[in-house]
Amino acid sequence: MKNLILISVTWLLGGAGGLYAQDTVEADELRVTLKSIRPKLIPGAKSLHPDVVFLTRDGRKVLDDNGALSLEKSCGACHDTQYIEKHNYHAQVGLSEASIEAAGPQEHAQVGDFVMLRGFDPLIYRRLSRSTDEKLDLGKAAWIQLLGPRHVGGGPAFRAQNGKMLEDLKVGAEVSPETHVLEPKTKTPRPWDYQKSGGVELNCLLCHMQNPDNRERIDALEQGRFRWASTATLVRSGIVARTEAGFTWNRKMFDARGAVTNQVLKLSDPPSDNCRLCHAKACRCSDPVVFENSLQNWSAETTGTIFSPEPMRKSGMNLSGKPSLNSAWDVHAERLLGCIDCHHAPNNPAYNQKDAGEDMQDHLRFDARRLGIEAYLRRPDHNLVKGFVTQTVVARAYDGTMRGCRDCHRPEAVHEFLPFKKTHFEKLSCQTCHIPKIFAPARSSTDWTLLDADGQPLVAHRGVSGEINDPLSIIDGYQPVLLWHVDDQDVCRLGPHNLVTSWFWSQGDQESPIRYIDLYNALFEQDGGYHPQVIAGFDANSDGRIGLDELRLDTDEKINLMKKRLETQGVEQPTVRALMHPYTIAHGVLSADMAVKSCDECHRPAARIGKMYDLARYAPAGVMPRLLQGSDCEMAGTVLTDQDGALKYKPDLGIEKLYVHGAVRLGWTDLLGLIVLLATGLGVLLHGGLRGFTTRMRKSRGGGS
Amino acid sequence: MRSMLVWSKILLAISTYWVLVVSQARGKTQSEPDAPWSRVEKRADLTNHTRLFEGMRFSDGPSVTRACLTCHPEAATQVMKTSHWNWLGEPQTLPGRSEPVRIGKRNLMNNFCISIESNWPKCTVCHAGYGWQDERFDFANQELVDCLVCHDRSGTYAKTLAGIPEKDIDLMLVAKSVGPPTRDNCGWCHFNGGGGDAVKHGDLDGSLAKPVERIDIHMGRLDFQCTQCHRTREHRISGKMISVNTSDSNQIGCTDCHSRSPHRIERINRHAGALACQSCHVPEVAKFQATKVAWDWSTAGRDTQQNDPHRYLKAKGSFLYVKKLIPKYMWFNGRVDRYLKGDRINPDEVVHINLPMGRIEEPDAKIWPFKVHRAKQPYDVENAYLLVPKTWGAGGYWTDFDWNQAAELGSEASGLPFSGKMGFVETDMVWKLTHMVAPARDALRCVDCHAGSGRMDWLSLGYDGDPALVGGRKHRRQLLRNQ
Amino acid sequence: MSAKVLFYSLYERIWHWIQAVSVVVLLASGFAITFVDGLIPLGFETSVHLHHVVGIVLVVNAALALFYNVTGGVLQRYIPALEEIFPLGFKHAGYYLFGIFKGEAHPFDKTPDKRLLPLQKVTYFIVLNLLLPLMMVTGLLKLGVDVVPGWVALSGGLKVLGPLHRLGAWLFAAFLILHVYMTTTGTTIWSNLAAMITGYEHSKTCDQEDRGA
Repeated sequence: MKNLILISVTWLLGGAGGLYAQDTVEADELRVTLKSIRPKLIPGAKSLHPDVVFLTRDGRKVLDDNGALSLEKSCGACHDTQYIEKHNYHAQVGLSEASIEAAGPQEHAQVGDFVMLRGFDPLIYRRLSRSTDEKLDLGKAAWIQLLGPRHVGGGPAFRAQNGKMLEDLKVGAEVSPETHVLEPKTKTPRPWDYQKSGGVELNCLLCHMQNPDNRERIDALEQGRFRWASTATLVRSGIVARTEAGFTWNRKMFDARGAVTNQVLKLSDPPSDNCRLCHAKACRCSDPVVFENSLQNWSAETTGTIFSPEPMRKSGMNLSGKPSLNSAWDVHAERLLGCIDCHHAPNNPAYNQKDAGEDMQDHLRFDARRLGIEAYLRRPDHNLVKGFVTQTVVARAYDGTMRGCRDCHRPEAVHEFLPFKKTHFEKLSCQTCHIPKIFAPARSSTDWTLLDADGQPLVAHRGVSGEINDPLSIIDGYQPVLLWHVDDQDVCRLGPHNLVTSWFWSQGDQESPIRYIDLYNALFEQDGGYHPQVIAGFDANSDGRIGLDELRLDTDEKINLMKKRLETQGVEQPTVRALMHPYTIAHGVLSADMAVKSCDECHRPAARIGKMYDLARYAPAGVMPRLLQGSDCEMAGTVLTDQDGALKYKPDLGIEKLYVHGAVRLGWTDLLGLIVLLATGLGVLLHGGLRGFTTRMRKSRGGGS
Repeated sequence: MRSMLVWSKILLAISTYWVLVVSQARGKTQSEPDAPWSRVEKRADLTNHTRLFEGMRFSDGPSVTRACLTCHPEAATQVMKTSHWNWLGEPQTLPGRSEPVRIGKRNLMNNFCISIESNWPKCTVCHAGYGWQDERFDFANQELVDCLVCHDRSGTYAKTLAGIPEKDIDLMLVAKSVGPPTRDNCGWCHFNGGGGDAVKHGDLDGSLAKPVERIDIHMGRLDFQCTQCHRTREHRISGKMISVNTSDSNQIGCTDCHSRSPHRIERINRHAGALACQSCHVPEVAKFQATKVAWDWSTAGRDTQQNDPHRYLKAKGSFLYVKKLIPKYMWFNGRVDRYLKGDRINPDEVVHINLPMGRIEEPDAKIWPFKVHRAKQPYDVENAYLLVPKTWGAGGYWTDFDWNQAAELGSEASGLPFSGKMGFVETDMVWKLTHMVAPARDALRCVDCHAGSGRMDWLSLGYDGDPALVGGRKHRRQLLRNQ
Repeated sequence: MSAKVLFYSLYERIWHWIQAVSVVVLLASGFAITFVDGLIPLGFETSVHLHHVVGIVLVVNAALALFYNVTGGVLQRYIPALEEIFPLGFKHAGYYLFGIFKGEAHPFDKTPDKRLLPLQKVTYFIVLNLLLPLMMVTGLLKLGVDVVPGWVALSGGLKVLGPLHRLGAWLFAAFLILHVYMTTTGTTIWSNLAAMITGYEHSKTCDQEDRGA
């Protein structure tokens, strides 16, 4: 089709029929690929990492006095661990980012993703209390206990705001989130003993060791043994054993120097399975993919994307139409890519090739001066390169540092079927067509205005018929909504998203939510049962219990009751707020044969573009959510309720952004045109009728005379 | 003026045609279309034979053959030229040898039941003839050709020792049923290679009689008969196994019907430079029935061990069977280094009875999937060659459990002297895997071989590592050239 | 007295009918593109393809016609003189409003040189110099959005070209109806249509000289 247009236009403009324009393809055959030196561990082969002497923070060997392992000291013998901790947004989670420090409450409420430090995330709800907060909610130690399991250590888990180590903190008289935690029973702050607990060091092993013991690490964190978290990561390897008292090093695993061989440790660049410990629990490459939607399975829960090479057909899930789902969950995973192949260290010399881009002078093709492997290994920048996703708020400076689709692929060279390639590529991100459907369920809404009997919010998922995580529920998957966003080329394009709506109580005109403990105490009694007033207000069928279907904040009585209950907890002017977080979908890319190819997918009214998108069963307290802007790109759309009260999102397909043939309706143009057309038709009919009539009249008169 | 306008119109017409037709056709001519059906052998028609034998009586096999030959006078002479009759191939010069020889089941050794010499009647159950009792069998007697084993369509025909039909078979019923061979006819022998279902080949077993497409896409989904790929002219059936042949002539290939670059993804098409189609499309064999992968003759003869046809038999020794066998991948250029009777061995090393030839450096060699069968089998310690023991029949090992006696008797029949000192040596034998082609969706995927999954042993294949990372052999050749 | 005169040369007739078919196909396929599920079930992909091809045909046809008319020196046929708007145009309009119903004779006679009636001349002038170029330019720009993105951006992009092209299409459809109807106002209902097919028409003031061929 493209040829056709080119030929036509050339013919017309140039006046010659034979000219055949072709895409100019840059001649880059000369670019040398360095994949032959790319490090990759062959299973069974010995990795190059030398044996490691395990040291404590004092610099003594752990065996000497059975001390806690300090990776900063042990790994620091060769690597610049302090540099690594500082250049590491996984550790810092925004600690060193001024923008987050300075952001006002509204911006805090806007952030999606796992802004562990300060932001409001509808999935997690709780955040580290700020010193400016009126009431203490999560002190630093409680934050480590609650959210540390998904944090790699270091950063705020190791250092206080002033840069001092947590274990050196002096407890002052003043209540501070840094030093105090909230006693849940009495709702009073108490100081935390950091001397005893220590801080959580950046845990190198969690990412770099094959098969780390995350379970033991989490246990240590939850029990408040922060200092021992790194040590606990080694339990499964047998280097250390967990005992009643704590941990005991297994001397047999150490040699005379007090070193552990790398055959036991198996240190390497991070295997994808290690990334999955926090990002997506589901995907184990070797087994059939079986996943549960939960916060532990973060990427599946927020977007429904599963990064696995397994064909969906072979998964252990109850997918609808499964026998025909030959595509892998993610085509890049299928084609051998692991997490770090795209999300590499920015100064990794294997990827950071200075032979292209703006830095290169015109007359040069290759710059031989580059970071040596030794210098890189001493100071590897751990701010892993990443793309643009709306849900991320930490390390925004690193947005778009990874190779985007077009940095590896040349879409112009293929897509022969597609007319107006450039126009399509200009307006649509690659994911729009290449992630046409998400095959796993994802969170659709989180209602924090009420809590279920377990104290959990009321959550709903899209893409599943029936209960989530019930093996009998059929997983239909869902079609993502297309929103404008800045994509990996730093261009505003339409791309696939999941919209997660959330409702929560806030105090007065504050944008951020009330403390969880206040909400909990408003709803529940000390013994864990619902408060009698709550039961009276919500028990619609009067069976003395509140079922899940009765937990609806849909009448004024119920809203007022909740307000009253919250006021007893010291919340002033409780107000329900609602937000809609867009989660950009970047993984789960399907093989090309499953990509959108038919024009009809978009070029018809209310097709893929402009389609109504289900948000939630109803709007709690009648509050309509507003879409959070994830970027400078404008996302136009309106939230509606249908006749059943269900909440829908309707993208506003203004022609300003996108004139889609077949999909746009132009009210006034079409109306005007239609009027002119009808008027002409009517005029012609009238005139013709009159002509016929008068002619006949004349004829009859003429005939009579 | 006028002619100019006419020319303009002609130009307009041509441009319209160009835009409409030519531009659309461009860009669609590059990839080779995969249209296998145009090259698939049509199935032969079935002629109704039910009324053709009136007034005849069939007392034995040869009497049926005589009747066949009245209408098909050429048939017996055709069959008698084939290896199905002769159990010997055409004269060929084997790798590393100077004299051309004729080899075949008649004179080769394997590491299953070892040799037919001295064991004829038991082995020749599967001979397409009647009465091969010993070395004196008359290969020129047309009446001894067994037409029925291949052409029976009644499903009642069965042969016993020396290829004689079983006693109570209604030969008239069988004769009336005859037609072109089906999978059942071929399978009667070939599914049961090694003496039982699935024992020898791994990619040929009874599950192919009525296969589902998961087992074999051609025979399952498309109901192919053997002869649709193994094209047959004048009873000469194409295709051979490397267990009894050493050359790559008269082979059948996927590309007989399929395009050489049939994949939508160019990267996969490029794999075909180094890989046989089968390497990805036969991801596993013995899908329903376990196949034998190891046989230790040295443990035979024990009365203490329990007999179990898949683990141990007193007559035969210990076995190992594997279901869903993952192939072993080796370079193969189509030629085989074949052990012949009397070849010297080094008893300290594994004896390769039919080693596939080919190395990574050979451009024509490709990686093929193989079934490997390992064995420990008797050899002559003094003479350092593999022995031909008599196993079946009077005095055979399976009767008397006496190795020396079996070796003596075998030596008499084979003409291979026995020194009196016998030992057991490890041997291996391979079978190229080419049946049980999986549906495309079950073919191997990137991660099955690359990214350290372990199906391919890259280093022993001669690569420097996973070629996805270090480059393929073409890259390697280029590097060598540059140096 | 009236005579049968060659009004339209072969080329002019071919040109006219190519133009006519193109416009109808363009209107239909354009409608099918805009209203995918509408009255004309051509399918989006087919319609787009058809629209492009026939659009090019129309443009080329128009270009050749321009060339023909310029080199043939007959351009003035299409340029209305002032008097043709007033008073002749009014006289002409008066005929359609009143005279035609009274069975009056047509106030103007057509000759091969003066083949267009005053109002017809004005209408064609607008259609051929405004509407058709508008459709061709917006259409070509839309078609060339990948090839000459700079020009497209200069014109305001698809969000301007789209509605313009669409409005023009409505007007073209209206013109088409009017045009077809007006052909019935000749000597007889079919005489104008027949003339555009055969080339010959009766003319009162013309002798039987075969002109224009």
